[in-house]
Amino acid sequence: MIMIDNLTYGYSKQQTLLENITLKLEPGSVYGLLGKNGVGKSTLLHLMAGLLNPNKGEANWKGNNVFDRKVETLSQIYMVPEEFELPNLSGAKFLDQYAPFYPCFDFDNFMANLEGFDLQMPKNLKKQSMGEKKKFLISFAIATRCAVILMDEPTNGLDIPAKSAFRKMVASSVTEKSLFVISTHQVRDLEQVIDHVLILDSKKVIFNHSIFTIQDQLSVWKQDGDFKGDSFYQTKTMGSSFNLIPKITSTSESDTIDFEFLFNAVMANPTVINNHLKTPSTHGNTME
Amino acid sequence: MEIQWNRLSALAKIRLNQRFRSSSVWILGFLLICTIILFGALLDFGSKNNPQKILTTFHNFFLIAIVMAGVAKWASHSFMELRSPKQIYSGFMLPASNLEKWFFEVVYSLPIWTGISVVVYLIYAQGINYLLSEIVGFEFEGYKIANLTQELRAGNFGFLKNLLLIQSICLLGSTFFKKRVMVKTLLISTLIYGMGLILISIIMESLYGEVSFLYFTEAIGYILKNNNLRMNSFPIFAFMITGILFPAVLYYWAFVRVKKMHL
Repeated sequence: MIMIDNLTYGYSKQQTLLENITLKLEPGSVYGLLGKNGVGKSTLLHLMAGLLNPNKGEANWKGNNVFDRKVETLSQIYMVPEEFELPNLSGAKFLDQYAPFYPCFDFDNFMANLEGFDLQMPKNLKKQSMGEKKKFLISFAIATRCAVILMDEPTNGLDIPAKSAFRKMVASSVTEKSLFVISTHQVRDLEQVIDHVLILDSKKVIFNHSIFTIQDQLSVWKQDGDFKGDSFYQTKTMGSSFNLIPKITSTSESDTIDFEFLFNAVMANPTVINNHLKTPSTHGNTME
Repeated sequence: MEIQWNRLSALAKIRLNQRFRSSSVWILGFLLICTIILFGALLDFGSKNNPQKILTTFHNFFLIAIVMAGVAKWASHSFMELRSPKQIYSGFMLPASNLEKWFFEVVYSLPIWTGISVVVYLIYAQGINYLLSEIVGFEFEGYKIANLTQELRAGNFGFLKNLLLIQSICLLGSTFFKKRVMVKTLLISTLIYGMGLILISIIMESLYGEVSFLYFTEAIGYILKNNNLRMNSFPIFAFMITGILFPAVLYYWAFVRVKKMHL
């Protein structure tokens, strides 16, 4: 479990990017970290990996402050950043050099991941395309079997079959002890994998709910023409209105909530939606 | 204690792989310059002076130069990944603890680098001697490790002291600057050192009138000796201050900086 306690960070002393963030990230989950550009998603991931020093507060894993960078913490946290450079090495040498730092590294799983991405073991990592580098690193990250795997925009640069392979890999790698935190703008790529949504905005986490809670208490109502009832958020497309409303039992409801729609709804009306999700489920309401 | 030797050997593998090419290019370039200077000197002065003497002086000077310059260069290259976040996987930024990072850079840029330089230079020296003896038909005395150990013999701490000082200064500099670390670090440390000397001279002059700095340093040794502080010779005292105490402060400062830096 990662505990973030009252964490504040800013790249300059005058301007903070994240303020007083308190979070508890449970193992056995895949957290989707969403937010507009520049709100601090990557920064938060770097802070969780112990790669940045918070101005205030701390991030703990198993009671250790990750920024202390203790060996037992480092061997259980792996991060795939959005932009990176790989060394001038063959894939096999990279494994030989970096796998020993991760005691649970699973070579068979790594090879299976590469196969899943339809990628051969690279002869020179530096000469690979960005997408291939990312496939290699994602395969490595998952094979580390670390308790905490942080990924920043992992599907950026991946081709369509690779995105599907990535979803399968993540879904099959989540155990009751592992925790994935995936920051992304490509929400549709990860809709089927994420089971918890975190939304960052205005220096804070403005939304933190499980998919179960969201689907249990919210639904999308599609109606031709204008919607007359109360909705948390409404958008109109081609003569139809889509409305985020409290969960009701009706055939017109959509079972799954589009993440993009949910994100826009939360950005437009975070307080009301959060308040609704905190209240007990109100199943049984009906809408005609 | 965070240092685990099996992890350190894995880190060493990463760092040696990362620096193998640049280290090789650097050493070969340095030796090429050495060769050009040596042959230039022999051609210019060879007929008037004893070539054996020129060769011995050359070897002594360049071995020290390659070690010193190498220590300064690699200490300045420490913590590269911390300065360029994209290099996160090129070095050992991700898997290494702060202490491991710091410890490995200290070890790599001094004992390991000195070892590599000495071995490479001894091979080079034998090669040069052989080449010259083939050209001029004169048997040169082989360059021996004894020449180096002579430099480090008991009582003569100068070489080691300077190595520690240069390494600690450059190590610290590498936590401050992103580009041209060695040049900036040496320039600033020279400036600070110069200013320090001027300040001490001014203080000394105001206290004792016209007393030179050299007198001042000797005076400290005399005072310590006469106060039975177990500093029975000034060279040891000077070594303690500039060779151990001062670098120790800089090493620690560098470690604190590494702990706080990160990306």
